[in-house]
Amino acid sequence: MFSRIAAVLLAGAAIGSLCCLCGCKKKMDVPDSGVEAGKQKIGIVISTLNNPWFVVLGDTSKRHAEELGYQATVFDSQNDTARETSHFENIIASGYQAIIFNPTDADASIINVKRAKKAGIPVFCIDREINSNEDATAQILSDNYSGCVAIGEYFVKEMGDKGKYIELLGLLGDNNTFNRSNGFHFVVDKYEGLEMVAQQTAGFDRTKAFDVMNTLLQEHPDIDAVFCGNDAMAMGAYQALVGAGKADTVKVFGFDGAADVLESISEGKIKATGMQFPKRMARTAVEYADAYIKGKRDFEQKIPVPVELVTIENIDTYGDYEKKKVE
Amino acid sequence: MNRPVSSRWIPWFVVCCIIGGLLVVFPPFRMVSLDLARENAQAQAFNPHRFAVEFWHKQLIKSFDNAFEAEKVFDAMRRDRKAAKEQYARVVGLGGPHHYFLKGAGKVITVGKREVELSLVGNDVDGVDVVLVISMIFGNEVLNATGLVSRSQFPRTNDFNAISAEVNKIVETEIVPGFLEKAEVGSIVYFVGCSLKISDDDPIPIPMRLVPVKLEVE
Repeated sequence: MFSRIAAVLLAGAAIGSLCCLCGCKKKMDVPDSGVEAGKQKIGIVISTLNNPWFVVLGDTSKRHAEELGYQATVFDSQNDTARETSHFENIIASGYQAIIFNPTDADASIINVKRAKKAGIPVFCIDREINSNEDATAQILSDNYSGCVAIGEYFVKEMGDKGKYIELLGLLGDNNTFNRSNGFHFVVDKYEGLEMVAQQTAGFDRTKAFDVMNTLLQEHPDIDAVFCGNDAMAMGAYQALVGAGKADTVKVFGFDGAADVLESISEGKIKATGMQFPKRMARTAVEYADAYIKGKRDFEQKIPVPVELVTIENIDTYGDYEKKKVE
Repeated sequence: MNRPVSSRWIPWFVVCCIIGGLLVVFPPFRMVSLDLARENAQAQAFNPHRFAVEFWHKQLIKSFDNAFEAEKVFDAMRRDRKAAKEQYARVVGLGGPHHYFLKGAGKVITVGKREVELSLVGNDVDGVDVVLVISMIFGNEVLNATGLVSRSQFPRTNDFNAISAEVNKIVETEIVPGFLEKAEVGSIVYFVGCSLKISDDDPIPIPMRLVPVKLEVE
């Protein structure tokens, strides 16, 4: 009898230790965020913090959540959906009240939003959409299409209705890639004299864009312009053109409104970009999350944020990822 | 006493027949040719052209009466631009641009390849009040100005944009050509149109540039 009781106690202790270990592992996965007792928590999951534009998105969300009295933690998915899933598991297990979410992949990220929704945690997508209009609480998205229609019109004006160009696409799993490309082509394709000699993905990445552009310049040394799906790629393409001695003759067009590209526009190195207002998106998403936590439930599913064309003509109006306030 | 072999198999035969019959009626899988499978997938996929045509005939035409009188809106705008925007415009998105959905009658001042200029009937002077954009029509102006279709209806925003592209095609291929056959300087035109996007930073948008969705020449 005594040995039976001892065996049960030993088994219980073993199970208890295992549970404790599992619990410790879970806790270690959560980034150190300086937990403050009693504060409600907002998780901010960003697709990648390798790109300064997304750092602005994450930092602004965090700062604004803290201003509203929340404890906020930024999670970097590093453009990896598996890592993103792991962040969501941690957030759900750690009792967060809301998630500000910049998805990695329009399809693959849906499952994470569904999981959070099932756990009763609202998700507010920013900048990038998921291919679902019933899982996120709201999606605050740049009007990429209209922004690139405007860039396409300026491109035609600058090119004079004819010339050869290359297009660098972003991540193929991100809807922004094709919303931008489609908006641009909807305008440019109406001009028969404008010929796209190559279209390749550079994954929204500056280094990849540099490499891809170097290769494409070998095949197409006679191009007149490059349209890039974001500013990081525009900077990479520009560097490749500098290396090839073509920076003065090939016109570069980007999209985002990144600080280094605004500087390049003012110096005449890059022709135009589309200002996306990441700070506005981040602040709005946090305010929506705050409103949800306080009881609001009726949110429009997709809220477009206008994108504005930035060129040498109006560069003085923009700075620091925002429109400058008129004194 | 043993039953004959043939009668022992009868129940099994009946069971097999029943199972066979059920499999015929409720097949666990069906063989379909690849071509047919592709056709079925295409039929089920979102078709922006079909959506745009249905939208035009079932929603847009019926909404023409809801457009505001251009003359009334311009008067309000000249008096107090902000109040006119609040009363008559449709704002898209966060702090975004706004659009007007207008109707009216105007006298043709000029007919160009890309634009037709109108002076509203009733104006004392022949100044240009409205510019009709008749080619190279881009963007979501019609959907944004009317508000009849929302981005939130679609899982992919690209579907919404594709509908706009189809709606713009209808304007360029079905509305404009018939109009250009009849319109000449001095003609009176009855129009319904959607303004291009207007920002608060822009000067007062008169003459206003409109994508026409209805044009009738008197």
